[in-house]
Amino acid sequence: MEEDELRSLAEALRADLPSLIDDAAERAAIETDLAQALDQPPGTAHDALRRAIAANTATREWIRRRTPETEEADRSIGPLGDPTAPLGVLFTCPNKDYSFVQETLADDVPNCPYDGCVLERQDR
Amino acid sequence: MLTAFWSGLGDEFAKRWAPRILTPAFAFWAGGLAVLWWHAHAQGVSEHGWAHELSATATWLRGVSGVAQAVLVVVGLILLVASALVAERLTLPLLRFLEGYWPRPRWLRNRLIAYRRWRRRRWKQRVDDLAVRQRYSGLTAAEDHELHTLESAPPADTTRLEDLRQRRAAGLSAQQTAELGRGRRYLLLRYPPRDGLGMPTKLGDVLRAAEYRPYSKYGLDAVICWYALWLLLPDGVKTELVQARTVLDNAARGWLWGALFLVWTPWSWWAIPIGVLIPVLTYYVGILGAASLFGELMVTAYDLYRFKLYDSLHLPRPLSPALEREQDGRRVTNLLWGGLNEPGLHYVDPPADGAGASTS
Repeated sequence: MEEDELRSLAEALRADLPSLIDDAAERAAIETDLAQALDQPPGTAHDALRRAIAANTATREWIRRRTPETEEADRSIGPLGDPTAPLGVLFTCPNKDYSFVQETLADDVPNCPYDGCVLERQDR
Repeated sequence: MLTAFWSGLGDEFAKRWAPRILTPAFAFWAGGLAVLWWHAHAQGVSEHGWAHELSATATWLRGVSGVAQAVLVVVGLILLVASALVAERLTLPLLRFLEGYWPRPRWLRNRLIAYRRWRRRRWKQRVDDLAVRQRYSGLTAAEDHELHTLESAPPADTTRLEDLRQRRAAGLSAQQTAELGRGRRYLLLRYPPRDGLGMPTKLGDVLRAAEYRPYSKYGLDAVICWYALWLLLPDGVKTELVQARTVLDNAARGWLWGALFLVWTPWSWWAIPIGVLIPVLTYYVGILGAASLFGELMVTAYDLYRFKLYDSLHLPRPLSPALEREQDGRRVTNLLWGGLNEPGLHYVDPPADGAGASTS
């Protein structure tokens, strides 16, 4: 965010401080920081303004609501990759000729296709 | 006039209006104007060159009066905004169309569904086989049993025993592991598990698969319970979901404007490749990815916040995953859909600390 935008936001934030922060001492401290940052010459106040605005939880939330473009920014929680750990429950035919892994509950456990036996749940 | 308009907007335009105007709708109309310009100037370009034709157009624009230029700009902006609004209203019907919610032609729908179910069955067979081999360190169930038999009574010729031991030590190959992971992801995210839930398109299957998972895990019908759960979700969760949904809607609108580019075909043949390529790219690159993400976040919202449903409806929380799936989840679904008529069931107060479970 450019310094001009930060200045505009800081001035708007100063006006909103009484409704944002109940504690008078806390509000006065933020007010002082904002005033000092705004008093700095143009072109040099960027970092001070950012610090002053982001110094308090309530002001951070206020700034987040006032800058919707950050909400609209594309953020991806991103797929980490494909799952490769052993998953689900192993079922085995008593005759040891067939096994089946039920990876999701939507999968029905079949009977053994060779001898029709009901598969038994294993703990391995 | 035009120069004054743009310079008057200046930084304000760049910061506030550019994202709103430089949309797929703008690309559609700008592309259409380019097509019309080319239709009118193609011969001139071939005879006199690009520079001559462009300067002729600029000269014509400069010759138009200031009032006429202003009217042109205003009409253009109105057209842009109005068409963008219409496209916004069409987003939901378009998404349903892309999901495959069209009853006719029935033969086409049935064939597409059959094809997609065939693809799922093929992946399922492969994943089932690899999942078992993973449990037996690369062996089949019969081979694992054979190995145990051989180890308990080693034969004189140990060739087979050594072969099975070596294969067990090696486990799944890298290719098999990769195939198993990919297959699992496809089966979970891209295909609903039941044939009766199959949809004719990939997008339809992706969203159906997500919608079915809360039911198969918790007995909660995701569609019926969604509005109630939505009202109970924390703001941050809603923000993430809205954002994912917005990305999906934007991608769908990109598809629409790309397909609409075909209307310029009578004026230029190259509207056809653009009108085909953009929807295809948007579908496979944008829409499917956004739908997967939205579906995953929706399922995760059920995973994490479903007990709020029980508490807010004053229904007893489930005592076990099995009971939740078979009884309690279905109870919530029925209550939200048509009401409950279950003898002996009483409302309960939600746990004070939000952590305990109540019983009826």
